[in-house]
Amino acid sequence: MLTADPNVAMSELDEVATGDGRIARRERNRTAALDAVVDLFEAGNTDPAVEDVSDLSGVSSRSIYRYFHHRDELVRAAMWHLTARIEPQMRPASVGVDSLDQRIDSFVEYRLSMFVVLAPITRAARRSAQSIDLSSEEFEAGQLVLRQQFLNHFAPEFSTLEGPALMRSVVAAELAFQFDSFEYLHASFEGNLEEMSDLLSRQLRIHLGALR
Amino acid sequence: MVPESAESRTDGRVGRRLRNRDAVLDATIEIFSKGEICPAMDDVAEQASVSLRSVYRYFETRDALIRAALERWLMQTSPHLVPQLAIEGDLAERIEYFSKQRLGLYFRFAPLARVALVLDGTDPLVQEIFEYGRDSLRQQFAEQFATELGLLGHRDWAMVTTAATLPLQFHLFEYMHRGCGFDETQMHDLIVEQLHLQLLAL
Repeated sequence: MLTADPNVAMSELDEVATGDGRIARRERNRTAALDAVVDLFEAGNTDPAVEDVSDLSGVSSRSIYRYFHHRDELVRAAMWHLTARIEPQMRPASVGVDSLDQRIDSFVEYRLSMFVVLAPITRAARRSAQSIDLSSEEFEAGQLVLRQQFLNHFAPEFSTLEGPALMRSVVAAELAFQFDSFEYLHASFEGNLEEMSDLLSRQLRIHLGALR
Repeated sequence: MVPESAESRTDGRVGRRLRNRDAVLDATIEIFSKGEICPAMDDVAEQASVSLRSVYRYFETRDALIRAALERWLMQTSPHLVPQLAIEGDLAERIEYFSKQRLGLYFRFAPLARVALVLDGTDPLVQEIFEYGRDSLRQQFAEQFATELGLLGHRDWAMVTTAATLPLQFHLFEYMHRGCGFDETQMHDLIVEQLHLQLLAL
């Protein structure tokens, strides 16, 4: 359900992806392994082996397999881990007080810079999982957080709607900000971020303008 | 009297063999379309009304069967992806026709497209058909809304075409339908509204 709860944080994604971590050492090791996956991706290795992760993190392959079962699961968890790590720094500073144009600009810049950082690892996570499971708990949690953020950012524009009409309107307006949309825009504009940004801003202006 | 040649005598057997082979592939496609990704050889045999031995005679392994069925399905699908001819009518009528047509295509092929992506999204043949589908969608959009797009410069044309065709991508249909739980009517309404917003903003 969509509500205007500003306390939803991207860090919750990590909890969904990694569980509640009852044993501290286990949690430390998991984090070290996930950090290593992220570092390997940042170094340009888009297909890291579990042995590479083990070498870099100092966590044994056996432990890594105990925490993650499959390499696919490790890459997916690392994707959420990176999301949770970078998101707070990229989040727009002011929300709800700026003019609509300012908020559109800051939102587009925020999501686009997230995409640039997350695209390689997200592509790998999807490739290894063969198909993203749209009904998985972590995917749903991630969607909910992102949708909630979108709603909070444009709270004044959506304030007249509620229930199914609100949900429908938010889904429609946020459609262009899905990972698959970004991939489509990236391919259509041959990676030109400026054109992607123009399209996304135009998209928001059309949708949010229609609400008023 | 036309004398029976050696060729036409063997034709009967070859013909039956090919028919049975196709029946096995069609049965596999039928099972795929119900969302089953790894059909059991027994089920395929039953569905195709041939013996399990025959299935193994045509396809040594299940992988070979799945691969062949996928190829047959991709071949059968491609004619449906050819851009439909533009229709006459006012903007609302054309938007309605276009939305219905694209949504129909999605609901018809989604179960098999999912199987294709899960089995091997990196397969060149699978990628090719998705690319073809995307190009065809853009072309059909351009032709159907040529009146509205006519006056735009190259950059605006690309901008509007990309924005308008975005919600009609397979992955975004999937997001709306399976990720957001929208039914066909909700998806239809959303697409129609999006097209109106895009084209009226011109």
